[in-house]
Amino acid sequence: MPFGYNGKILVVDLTAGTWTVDEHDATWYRTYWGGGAMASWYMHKFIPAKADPLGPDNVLVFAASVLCGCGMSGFNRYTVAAMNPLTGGFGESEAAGYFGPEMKHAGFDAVVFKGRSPKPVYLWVNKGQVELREAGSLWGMENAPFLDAVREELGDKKIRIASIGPAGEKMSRLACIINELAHANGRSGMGAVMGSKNLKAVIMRGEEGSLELANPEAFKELNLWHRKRLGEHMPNVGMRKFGTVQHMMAQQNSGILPTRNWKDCQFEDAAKLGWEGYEKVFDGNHTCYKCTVACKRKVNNIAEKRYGGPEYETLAALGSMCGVGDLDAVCRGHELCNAVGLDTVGAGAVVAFAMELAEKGILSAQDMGGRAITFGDGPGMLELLDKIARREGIGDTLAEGVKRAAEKIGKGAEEYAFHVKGQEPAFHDPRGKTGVGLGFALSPTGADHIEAPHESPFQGEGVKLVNPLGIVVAPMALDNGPDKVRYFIAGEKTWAMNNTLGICNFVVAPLFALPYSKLCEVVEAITGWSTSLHELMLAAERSMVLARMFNVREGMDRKEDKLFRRLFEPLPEGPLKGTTIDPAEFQKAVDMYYAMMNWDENGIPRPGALYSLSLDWLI
Amino acid sequence: MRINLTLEAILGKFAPGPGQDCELPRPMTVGQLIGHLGIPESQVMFAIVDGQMANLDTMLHENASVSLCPYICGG
Repeated sequence: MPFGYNGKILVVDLTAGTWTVDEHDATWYRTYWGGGAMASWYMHKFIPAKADPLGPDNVLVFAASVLCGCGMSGFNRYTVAAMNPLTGGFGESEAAGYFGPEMKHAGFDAVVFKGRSPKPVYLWVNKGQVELREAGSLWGMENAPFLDAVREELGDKKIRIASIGPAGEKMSRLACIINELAHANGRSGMGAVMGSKNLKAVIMRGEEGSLELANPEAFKELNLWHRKRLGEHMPNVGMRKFGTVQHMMAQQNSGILPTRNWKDCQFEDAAKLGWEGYEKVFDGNHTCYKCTVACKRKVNNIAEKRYGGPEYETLAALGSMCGVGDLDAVCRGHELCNAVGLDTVGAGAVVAFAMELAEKGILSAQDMGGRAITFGDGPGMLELLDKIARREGIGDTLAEGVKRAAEKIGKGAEEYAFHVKGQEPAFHDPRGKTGVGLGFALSPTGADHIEAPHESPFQGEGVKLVNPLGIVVAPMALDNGPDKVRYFIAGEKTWAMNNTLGICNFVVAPLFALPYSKLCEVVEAITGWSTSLHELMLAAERSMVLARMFNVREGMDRKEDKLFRRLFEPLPEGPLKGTTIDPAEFQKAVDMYYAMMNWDENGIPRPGALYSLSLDWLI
Repeated sequence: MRINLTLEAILGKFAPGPGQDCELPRPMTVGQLIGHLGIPESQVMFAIVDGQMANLDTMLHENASVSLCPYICGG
């Protein structure tokens, strides 16, 4: 009997309007665990090579984990994965909120969508009962009105919903999936894939307490210990008070706040967007399933408060990147993105790109619909977001993301299109923390800022926090040598472990309250599997290599593991003025990474790496 | 009361003097030390006292080794 999970995965054929249930044994679950690893298994098996990411051959997977939904703070994340419409390779995006636990309680560990429905539908899973329902009358709705309409249609206010808005329906490659209006599977264009399948929403209703745990008493004790610790552990106390908003001034003070399309690294209005300004519109905490950290924010300056308040990445995306210091405009932009289902990171990046093109005269006032929209123009930023969501005018081009938009616009626009593998990065400058550069370059999804914990806190005395990972030399922020690569790999595995197990990075070591020794005890109390950090790290590496091998299958290799132009230019101002990344040193670090991972010189995992991870079937 | 104080990275600008020796007017907790140094609470991510992660209410003792680390990581 499975403990902590259902042993059932729902496979829906949208073309035929039918479904089946896969039942895997415990060995399979203990190999793939959840998240991106579980999703990758289905992607490798079901997606033909060179498929069109927005065609019916792509497969969209909603994957929880064996631990998700058991009631521990932060053990509530799930992954949506598919072929990435921005990169043509592996795509995945994690979200917290309430959807993952509800899917588990509704009877399934994952849902896999194949094909394309001939007409708009949504999936309704009610305590194990499955139904595909017509969504024709709901198509075109923004996420909040859709949520209200479908609650009324199903006569149940307790349903949990992951839906797309008009941006996903119109297959903007920057479209995301929103759950409960304030939580997003933001990156990798997963909303576009959902729209391409004519799938408006996935709706779950489960039964609390439906999951059996191996040792409920031990779990209860660990849960109480964790909750108490979260209430006193400094990084968690800070996260509860300030959320991720405090990163705004941290980046500014460190001289690495991405500003005006990466042209600048200091933003004169940063304080208006940081906690000092944010506190004035702060309207209380918001949280995810049974999480006492409550890092999410509510704000009082938007019309539909259920969309929540912006977090750091959105503040930078729609704020400093666009040169907009008006917090009201940034909050409205956040509200608009959640309403129409746009990834705020990608959307902010493409708006900033368009603003720089306007500044350089590559886009004219006429191109932009009547007036040139440049940096600092808050109303213009909102106007462009709206055009992108509706694919109107220049918005139709920008909805494709910076890489494709630049190719279409021409006239040298590529010079200002900053991406890795086609995906725009979030807002952390590797010139002040080089490990982030490794993450941008090596992430299988294209630029990703949460590939590994940023090294900055582990300098000096902070190295003690990563000692349990075998890191005993502090990873210095600007180093690109072997100590940095060793640290990066250890850190990358810890966050891949969190993604695979469905755990929030804000509740567990190395920075947050739950130490690795206790994590192993939690896994055992839930599943009954006696485990170790070694086993969990192996699972993490397996998920990393599965994703890498998906890209290898699509013809990607070292050529794509690179950074963009501006990161090799000196920082123009601030405390790190003049600092840059040396291209040769960075390339050496990438090569060292391949060697340490047992990948060949082209960045392809060697057979030995695949055998050691029980991935023989990929050889 | 004397402690050995390290202010990591950008917190260095709040250092009360050139060295690591820091004289405190009275016994205090980590939270009170942050206030005493004039550092906004929103800028300190964690404190390590004598090699261990400390809480805001951890009481400092004579000759304690204290390291304060700023927010700078991502999410």
